[in-house]
Amino acid sequence: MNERDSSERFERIWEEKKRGVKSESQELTEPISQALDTAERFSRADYSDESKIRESLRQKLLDENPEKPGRKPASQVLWGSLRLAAGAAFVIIMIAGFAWSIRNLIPPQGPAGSQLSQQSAPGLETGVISATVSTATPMPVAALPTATQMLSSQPAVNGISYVVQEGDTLSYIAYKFGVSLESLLELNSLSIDSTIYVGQILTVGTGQPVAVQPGNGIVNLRSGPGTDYPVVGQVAEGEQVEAMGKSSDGNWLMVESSDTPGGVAWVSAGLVAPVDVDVPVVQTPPDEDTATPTPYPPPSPVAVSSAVTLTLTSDPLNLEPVDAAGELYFLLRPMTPPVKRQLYHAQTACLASQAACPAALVSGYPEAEDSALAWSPDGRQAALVSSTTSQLMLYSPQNQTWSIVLSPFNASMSIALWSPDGYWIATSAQDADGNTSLLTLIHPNGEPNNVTTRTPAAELGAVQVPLGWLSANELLFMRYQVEPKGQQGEAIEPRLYRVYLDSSTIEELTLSNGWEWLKSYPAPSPDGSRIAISLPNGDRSELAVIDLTGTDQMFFGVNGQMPTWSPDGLQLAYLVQQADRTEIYISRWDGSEQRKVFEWAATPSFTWSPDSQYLLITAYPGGGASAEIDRTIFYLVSLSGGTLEEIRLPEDAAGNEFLAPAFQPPVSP
Amino acid sequence: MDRNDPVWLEEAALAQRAANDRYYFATLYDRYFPRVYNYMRFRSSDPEAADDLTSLVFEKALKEIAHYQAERAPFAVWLFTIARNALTDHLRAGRRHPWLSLDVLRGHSNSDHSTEDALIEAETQDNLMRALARLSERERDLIALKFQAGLNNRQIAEMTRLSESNVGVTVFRAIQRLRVLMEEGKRYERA
Repeated sequence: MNERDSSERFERIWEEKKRGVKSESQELTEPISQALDTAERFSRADYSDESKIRESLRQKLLDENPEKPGRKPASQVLWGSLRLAAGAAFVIIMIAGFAWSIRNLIPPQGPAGSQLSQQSAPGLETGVISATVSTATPMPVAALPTATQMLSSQPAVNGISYVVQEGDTLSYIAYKFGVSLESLLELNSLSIDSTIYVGQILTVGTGQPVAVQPGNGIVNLRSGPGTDYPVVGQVAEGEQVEAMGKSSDGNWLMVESSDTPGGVAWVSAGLVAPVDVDVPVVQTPPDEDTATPTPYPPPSPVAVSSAVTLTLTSDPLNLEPVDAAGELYFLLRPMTPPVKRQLYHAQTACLASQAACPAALVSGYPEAEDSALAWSPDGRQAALVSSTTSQLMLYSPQNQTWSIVLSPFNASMSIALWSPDGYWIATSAQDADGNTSLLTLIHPNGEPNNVTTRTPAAELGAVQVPLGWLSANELLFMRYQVEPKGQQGEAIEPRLYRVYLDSSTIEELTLSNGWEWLKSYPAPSPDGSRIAISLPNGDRSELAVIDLTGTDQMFFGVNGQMPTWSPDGLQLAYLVQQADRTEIYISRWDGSEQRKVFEWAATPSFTWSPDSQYLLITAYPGGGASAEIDRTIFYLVSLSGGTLEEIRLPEDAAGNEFLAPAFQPPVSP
Repeated sequence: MDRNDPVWLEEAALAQRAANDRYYFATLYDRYFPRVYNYMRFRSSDPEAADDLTSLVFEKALKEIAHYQAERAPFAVWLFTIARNALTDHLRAGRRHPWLSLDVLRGHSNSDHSTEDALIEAETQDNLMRALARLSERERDLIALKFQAGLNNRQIAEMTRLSESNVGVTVFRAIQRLRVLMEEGKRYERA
């Protein structure tokens, strides 16, 4: 009986069983009777006793009046009218000479949404509110008091107002405008518990209005502080723009511009007045000279341009370790029982260039494990945190042997991060009761259970997760605690720390806008100077790069998640969620030159090759154009070649899926 | 469509009354709460998310119940369409960090069950959860719709826009894999 017949038979008997119909007692094949037995157990499993809301929700549903009128919190309301009127993601209301009329029109606490939209929409049309740089009506500079006069005479109205949008939070608004949460609260007479409403007007900061000086005509807005950056917009003589920051040399001003990515653009400070505006120095895109060691690759396709078929062999392939792209190690997992995983490796350069590539079997991988290898920087050994065997293992490609470092070893997740000098393996080791999981550094001494360990942040307790090494001496980690299962306990918000190993100093990184960021699992750059993060903002995730040496931040204006640095530190790969698919983008680290390289209906994952020239994509089932794709597939993107290849298995191995890719760096001599 | 299905007819009648009378909605709630909750648990494996999502589903269902057309689909299909959509949105938002499963961090260690039987029961359930976590999203979806929501393959096929035989084969294959994974789980627990 083939699989389709078996499944139809199974369905018939199961549905009869459900109805209480006795099926004719014929012989069932073993797969069907086993499946019926498992299905029976599965359908009986019931966790609903663990729900904390069963009674309260029932009561609420019985009581609640569904048409309850009144204001709803910002995060729950769809509010179309102002969006249509404004036509932009957010509206900056410049408080200039018309400040008082706006104030009179809209009380600071904001009325309910419908009232506001009726009042503010005409305002937009008549120019009372100048919405953006590009749509603002040019105003002769002489007709206005100078910015300095205005500031000194009316300090209370100096600032930028912001109309609260669906999904906003106070901390996000504070972040967006580069002010502290405290000062945002203070500016608006709010407390940390205050609820904000869609349409509410908040004063968000202390941007400074500047205007193009007479005699300069039309002035260019550029994407960065310098004339070698591309022109992204223009401002006419006399037109006002809101300065948010300046370049470190003070020659360029960063101004609000809703038309450009990130909502900002740069204008030469010499062309606007007043010249000496009091705005903070902000992070600038990298210097073109130092940021471009290699020509930037051509645009990559999103369609599969070719496929490479592997030839599986059990002979060890002693390939010369000369390929800068490294070896790709991966698992093959059978789709049907017995599900015994096998580890293979193949040369990345071969995968990228040939129609058939040999992939050699590595024996000794734990057969039930699904975790990827973690390669040492010199490519001479790989660590494996195995949850199925509760072991920390090391694989040596030279001897093709596995050794046990620690057993038993309980890691809370399969993370092993080698220090840049290859001495320590950073991981998170769970204690016996499972509630604490400490950042643990392990140095193997060659024999099983003979290791040097350090738990540099033991006194902080909770769950500690290593995020990345900033140098051989500095490690970035996150700490948090969820409520222990079945108990009432303290939940700890995720916080970010840096530990210096030589002095055992731990430093909390309170990056000016606080904890809200840390839910996004920051990714440190390879040189340890910056972190890439993704900030939740309603249904968006804003991508940003933060400078660790100060509090400079660069906001990409991109709805991106899972930012991941290329090993050379020059590029970032990240996910962009669309309504019906997920896209993978690559950009320069400053957010410029964003290019889509892949899309898939189910969220894919990816990993960089050691030479930063390839991206290996793991695409999970159900995501292709055809719903028939029922297994995990690998794609290889070649950034220099601009190609996307599917990696295929030979006919006789077609019943497997790919899993857990890991690049072995070229072995250093 | 089997319009003589007694469950379908009964739930159609309940749903019609539920639009005007909360008492009838509560009857449907009591019947479907465990199924919706378990569906959410099996797919998100996070108890808090399961609670949140379950509330969302029933609140939405209450709001929309007047628009439910019994002749078009059984109540279960209608309700689980809402549930799937809620979950899809949740997963899309939450899958930023695929390597960090809160369930793993919560650990399987402390237990509020005191008797040995309860402990074994809890271990079996944990094992089931762990096995489930190893299935693909789609496999989890299909077998949760099949064995918790109690839908048949044709209904699942309509809901997921897969072919009926594709649903059948995937479910059958997933349930076989689940068995293997649970066997493995038990082996390692003993070891």
